[in-house]
Amino acid sequence: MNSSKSFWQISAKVPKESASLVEHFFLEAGAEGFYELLYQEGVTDNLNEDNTTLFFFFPEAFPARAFAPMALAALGIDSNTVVVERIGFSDYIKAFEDSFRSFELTPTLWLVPPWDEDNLQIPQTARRLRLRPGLAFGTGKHPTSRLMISFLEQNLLPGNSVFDLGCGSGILALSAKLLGAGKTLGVDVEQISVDSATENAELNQWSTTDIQFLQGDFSFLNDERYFTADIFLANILPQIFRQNLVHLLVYLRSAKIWALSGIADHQQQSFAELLTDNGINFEWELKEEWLIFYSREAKRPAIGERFSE
Amino acid sequence: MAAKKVITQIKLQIPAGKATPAPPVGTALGPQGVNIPEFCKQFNARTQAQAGSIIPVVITVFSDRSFTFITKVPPVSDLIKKAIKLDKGSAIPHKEKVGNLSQAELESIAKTKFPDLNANDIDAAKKIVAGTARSMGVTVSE
Repeated sequence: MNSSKSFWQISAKVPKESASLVEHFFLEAGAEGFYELLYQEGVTDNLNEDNTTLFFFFPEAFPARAFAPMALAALGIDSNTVVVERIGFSDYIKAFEDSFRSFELTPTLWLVPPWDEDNLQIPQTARRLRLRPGLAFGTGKHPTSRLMISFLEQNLLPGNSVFDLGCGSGILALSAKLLGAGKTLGVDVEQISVDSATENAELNQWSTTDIQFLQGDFSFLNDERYFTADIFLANILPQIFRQNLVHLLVYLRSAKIWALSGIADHQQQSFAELLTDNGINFEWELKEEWLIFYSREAKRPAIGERFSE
Repeated sequence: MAAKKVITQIKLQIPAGKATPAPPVGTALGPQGVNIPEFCKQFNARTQAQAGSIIPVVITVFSDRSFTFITKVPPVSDLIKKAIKLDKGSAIPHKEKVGNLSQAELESIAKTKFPDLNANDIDAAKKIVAGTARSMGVTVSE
C-alpha cells in the first residue's frame, strides 16, 4: 500500500448470493483488497448460514463513511450490519512475533522461536527446542503436543531410538532428540510437514544423520528398518488410527514403549474399547480435554495430573 | 496432522506471487496469530507461475495456530478482464458497455472456473459467467 498511516476498513454481513456483486462493486469503487470470514469459532459460522461477512480496505482519503451505506442500499442489501472503522497500519510481522514468544513445554524444556533467542525469561538451565511455527501442526501450543513431550521426558532413556508417525512440524521427534534420543525418525503424509520438520531440525543444528524426516504413511509400520524403535509416538486422530488399525496393532503389540494422542475426551470410551477389544493394554492421561494413551515397560510415577477414572 | 481443530477459516484474494504482510493479509491473519511471513512465503512460492492473476485463497487456522491454505482459480471478473483485455468494469453496467465476450470466450472461462462454481454442468457455469459479465457492463455475443 502507500505511506499513509491509516486506512478504512468496511465490514458487512451480506447474503451469500450477493457476495460477488458486493465484492465487484467495492473493488471497482477503489477497495485495495478484501477478505471474507467464513468461520470463526464462537463468533461466526458463515459456512452454514445464508450470509457471509466481507471486510474491505480503502485508502485513507476515501469517503468510506458516506460510501458504505449508500453502496449497500444501491445494491439492495440491508446496511444494518455495516461497520466502518479507521485502522492504523501496524507492523504485522512484529505483532505476530510479539504474540508468539518462548514458552515452557516442560520445566526443563522451552520452545524458542527464532526471533526470541534473547528472551531473558528462558531459564539458563532449560534446554531450547528451536521451532518456527507455521504450516505444519505442532507449534507446542496444543495440549496433545505437551502431553506427548511430558511422556517423553518421563520415559525416554538416553540413546533410545524414536519413531514419530504424523510428525507435523517435527516437535515430538525434536523434543525426543533434545531429551537424549538416539536414532530418530519422523514420518508424515504431507510433504509440507516433512519440509517444515527438516527446517526445524536445521534450526537446532541437527543433520539428517541425527534425525530424519520422510514422507509416508502407516505402511512404514511394516517396514522392518523402523520396526525396532524403542519408543513409538503418534499424535494423530482416532479416525486415522481406526483406518490404519491393522498396521497399528501389529506395531503396538511389539513396541516396548508407545504413546498415541490426538484423542478428544468424548472419544475416550470408544477408543479405549478399540484397544481393549484387540488385546492392547494401556494407561491414559487427560489434559485440557485431550487424551494420551500409552504403554511403557517399567512402571514409573504417573505423568501430568491424574484424573479420577 | 494431529488433533486438527479448525478455529478460523478466511477467504482472501491476492495477486499471484505478491502476498505481503500489509492489508488484507495482515489484517485478516494477524488477529488469528498466524505466522504471516510464512504464509506469504508459501503463497508466493505456490502461485508465482500465475503472475498477473488474482488468486482466491482459503486459509484454515487450527487450534494451535498452525494453518493450511488452498488456492483457487482466479475470480470470474478477473478472467473476463484478461480474456478481452479490459482494465476496469463499467461503473454503470446497465448503461455503459465496456466490452463484449464471444461464446467461445464465455465457454473457455466457464470451463476454467468450473471446479470452483456451484454449477452442475457447463451450461449452468456459462450462465454464471454471463451474469458476472453483465454486472461489469460486458455484453455476451449470442
